[in-house]
Amino acid sequence: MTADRRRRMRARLAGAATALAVALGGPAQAYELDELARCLAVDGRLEVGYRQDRLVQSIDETLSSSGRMVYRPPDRLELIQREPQRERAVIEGGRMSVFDGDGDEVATFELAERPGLQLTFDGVRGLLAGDAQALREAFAVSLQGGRADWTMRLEPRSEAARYHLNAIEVTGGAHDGGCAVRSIDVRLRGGGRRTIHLRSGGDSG
Amino acid sequence: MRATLRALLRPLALLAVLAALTVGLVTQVPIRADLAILLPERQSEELALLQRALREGPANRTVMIGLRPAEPVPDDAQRFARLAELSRALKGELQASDRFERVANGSFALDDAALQPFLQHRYRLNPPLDPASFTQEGLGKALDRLLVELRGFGAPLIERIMAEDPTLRTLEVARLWRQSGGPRKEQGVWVGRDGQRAVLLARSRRNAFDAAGQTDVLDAVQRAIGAVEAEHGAVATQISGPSVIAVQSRNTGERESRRLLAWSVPAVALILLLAFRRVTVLAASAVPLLAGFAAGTAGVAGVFGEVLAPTLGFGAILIGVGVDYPLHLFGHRRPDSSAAATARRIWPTLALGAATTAIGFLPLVLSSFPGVAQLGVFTIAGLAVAAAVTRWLLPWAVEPIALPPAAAVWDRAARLHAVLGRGRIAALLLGAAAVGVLLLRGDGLWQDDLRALSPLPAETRQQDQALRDDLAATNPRYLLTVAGADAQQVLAREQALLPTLQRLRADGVLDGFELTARYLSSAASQAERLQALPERAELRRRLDAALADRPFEAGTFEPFVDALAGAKAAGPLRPEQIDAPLLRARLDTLMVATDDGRRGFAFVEGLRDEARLRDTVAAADVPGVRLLDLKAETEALLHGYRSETLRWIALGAALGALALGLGLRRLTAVAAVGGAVLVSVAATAALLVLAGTALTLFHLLGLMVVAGLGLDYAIFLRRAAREDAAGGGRDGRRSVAICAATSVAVFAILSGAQIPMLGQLGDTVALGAAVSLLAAAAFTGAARRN
Repeated sequence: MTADRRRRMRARLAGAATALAVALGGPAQAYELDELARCLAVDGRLEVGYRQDRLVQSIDETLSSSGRMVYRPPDRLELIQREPQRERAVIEGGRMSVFDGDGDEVATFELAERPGLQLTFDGVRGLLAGDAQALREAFAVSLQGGRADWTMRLEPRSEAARYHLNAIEVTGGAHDGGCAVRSIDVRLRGGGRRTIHLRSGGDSG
Repeated sequence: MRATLRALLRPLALLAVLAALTVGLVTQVPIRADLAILLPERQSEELALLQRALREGPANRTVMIGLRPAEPVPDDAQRFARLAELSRALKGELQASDRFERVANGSFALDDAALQPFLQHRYRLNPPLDPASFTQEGLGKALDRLLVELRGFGAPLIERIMAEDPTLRTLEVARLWRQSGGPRKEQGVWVGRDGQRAVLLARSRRNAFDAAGQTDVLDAVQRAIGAVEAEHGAVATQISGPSVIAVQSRNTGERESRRLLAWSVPAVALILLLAFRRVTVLAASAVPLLAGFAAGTAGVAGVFGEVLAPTLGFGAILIGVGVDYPLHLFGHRRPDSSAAATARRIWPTLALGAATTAIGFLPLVLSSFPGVAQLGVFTIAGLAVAAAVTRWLLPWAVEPIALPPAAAVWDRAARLHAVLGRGRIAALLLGAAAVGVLLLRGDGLWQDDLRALSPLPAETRQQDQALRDDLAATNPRYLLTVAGADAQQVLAREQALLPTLQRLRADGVLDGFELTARYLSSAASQAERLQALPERAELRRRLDAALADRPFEAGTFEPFVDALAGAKAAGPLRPEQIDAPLLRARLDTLMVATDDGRRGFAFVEGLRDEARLRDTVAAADVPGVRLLDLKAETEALLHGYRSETLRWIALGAALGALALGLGLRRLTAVAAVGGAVLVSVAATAALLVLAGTALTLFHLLGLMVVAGLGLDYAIFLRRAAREDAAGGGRDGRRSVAICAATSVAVFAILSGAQIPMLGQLGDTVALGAAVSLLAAAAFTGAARRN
């Protein structure tokens, strides 16, 4: 990567309020998925802060955690949790490995065995890679709003996935010369819910 | 042509009858295939139990696999990524084959299936329950921790078990069972110590004792590797483990037998045809040998009730000297005398040789090692019957065969014989020098490395060892054994030992230890712990109080209340009640059944101060506990095995000399023949040692065959020398020369065997037969003057 490109990218990332891309203005027409995907596509390493809020059945309280998310094309996603305790998860090649604060591997899940998680990460990676085709294959995609402010609704196509996951709602918009994802809202079938807020720069929180 | 066919008829008829008899015997007699039976490691009860735990437990069903890309990847990070990919792919394929109960590649998949046994037994398995966990305060703390864990990445798992197990006791128990050390790990999978290959373990569902089962398992492994290659490119693999070795041994055994037959039968045939120029001789020579084999088998079956497979193989080799008997009959036959007359004429010499050799093997029968004792019986019965058949049955069979007389060229051998005879003193000196060499080496003569006594080819052994090292599955040197009348007594004793071991670990005397009591306490202690748990109503009260200011919905933890009450009601968990494969595998290597109860093993890792361990354990004074130093133990065993065998062999030599004295009745004759035998054996042993060989039991057995051959050559050459005046010398020299040629040929072919013990026998006897011929000639060349 040339220094120039690196600078451009840094500028874009710094500009993009979040991890996950976006384009500048343009005519306020129906925003096309392909166009958005092209704008979201990341061609290098990407690091953003996140805050996750979870709602779990049987607990009347939002469970929050925060840390940083690192994406490396084409499909490696690393989540470094800082709060409430240090943990790390690496999602790569259909697998999620969890490491504790000391760096010891605590568990490895086959994502295929956890369809809800798998679809969530597939969606996130599809967005980050700007892969409209992959998104369309896994989900029925509907997009509302314009470049400055959009909402994408992803509904799983497969019967099995719908058993676990109702939908994923992604919001984003234009930010500082790029496209950005602002939040990813995962609604599980049983009433569970996970919202991930992304913010470039320091930890979200 | 017709004459030849007619002449063949009787030997062939005899061979057919004997073959039918042998096949009948071998199929009727119980035969136990166990190559290791000839090894001393089977003879110590403690070691035998340990071997059983390590080999015949789940380890017996385990295949170890090493895997790397065919093209080396120099960059570490890239290679590890590739190894992880290959390892995961192979694990998936192996699991999909449905042949394996468990496939491990180091990835710690804490999934529902893996967690189930821990969840199920969580209140009864170790670590010990802390009653404080179930107070209102303890429960409150647990719930707070639960909230933290639920915010982390393990949440999907935690969510599944939290209703039943809010204190996350399951994870605490599972952590204890995670391998403490274990193989090197990169990118979440096991790799070898040098990081060049991925290593995996696959445990098959069924016990692979039968050939079909073992082959089936290995086929499944090969198919899985094929599937990985199809998707991920060419890979290089190494496979080992008991079933792999069993299949390989069987294949090696079959290949070796075919190779030995393919080379030795034509070699012997060529020598006999050159000497006698009659095809019929070939068939007739086999008669005493086959009769001896059948008699040996029957003898062993009669005495021991069963036959160990190696006895048949090694016995057949040991009675190889029996093939000399028919050769003497043919060699001494003259055109003017009948076969029966020849047999009568040479009988005193032949009988003396056979009887002396058989008597020499007699003490082996008394050996406390079943393999050796069986070989003794086999050899004695085999040689006696081979000699008797040569005397009484063979003349009838070969009567129609007209043999050419010994050519005049053999008279030249008389001169050579006489020349060698003048070297008697030199031979004696050489023999003395050989004894000197052997005495100087002392205990250094012997192979003390048990692994070198393994019946496996060196390459197989190295591959197995390398995989074991990479999987950190090597046997430690020190362990404690804990004897008890039953599993509970062993557990109680181990438990009593635990504080001592923990203190030693804290003091840095050792790195760690592994024993059943680490995972499971005795029923009595478990009962005590369960007793301390709150009753259902009390638990619910405390839980409700703890839940009052926490965000959980009411009733969420009702399954927990049920589970704890259930565990309390179910009572203690006994080791035999555990059947989850992961747990079972661990427990089975840590405790075995014995004739008089149970024996537990406590493996010690990273011991730094043996004396301190010994003293501290002794001071703890727990009954039934013994510290075992495997290395010292095996060495002592090996030493005992060797000295016992040597004692029996010495006794055999003395008895043989006595028999010789009775037979020859003249001191000079006994001195000549005995000298030849002693010098042959000593010189052969010294040559082996000087060539850098460490001697094993199989060299010793080979030396006994050498003694038999040397005796046979010496008495027949002595007879030849004495008959020179009557013109009979050429027959004797011819027959001894043919015998020596066949022995050297057959055993030289055997010495190339891939199975170490066969190779050792081959080396010894091929060398010994040549040395014996020279020594016998030297000690008998001057006989006519006497």
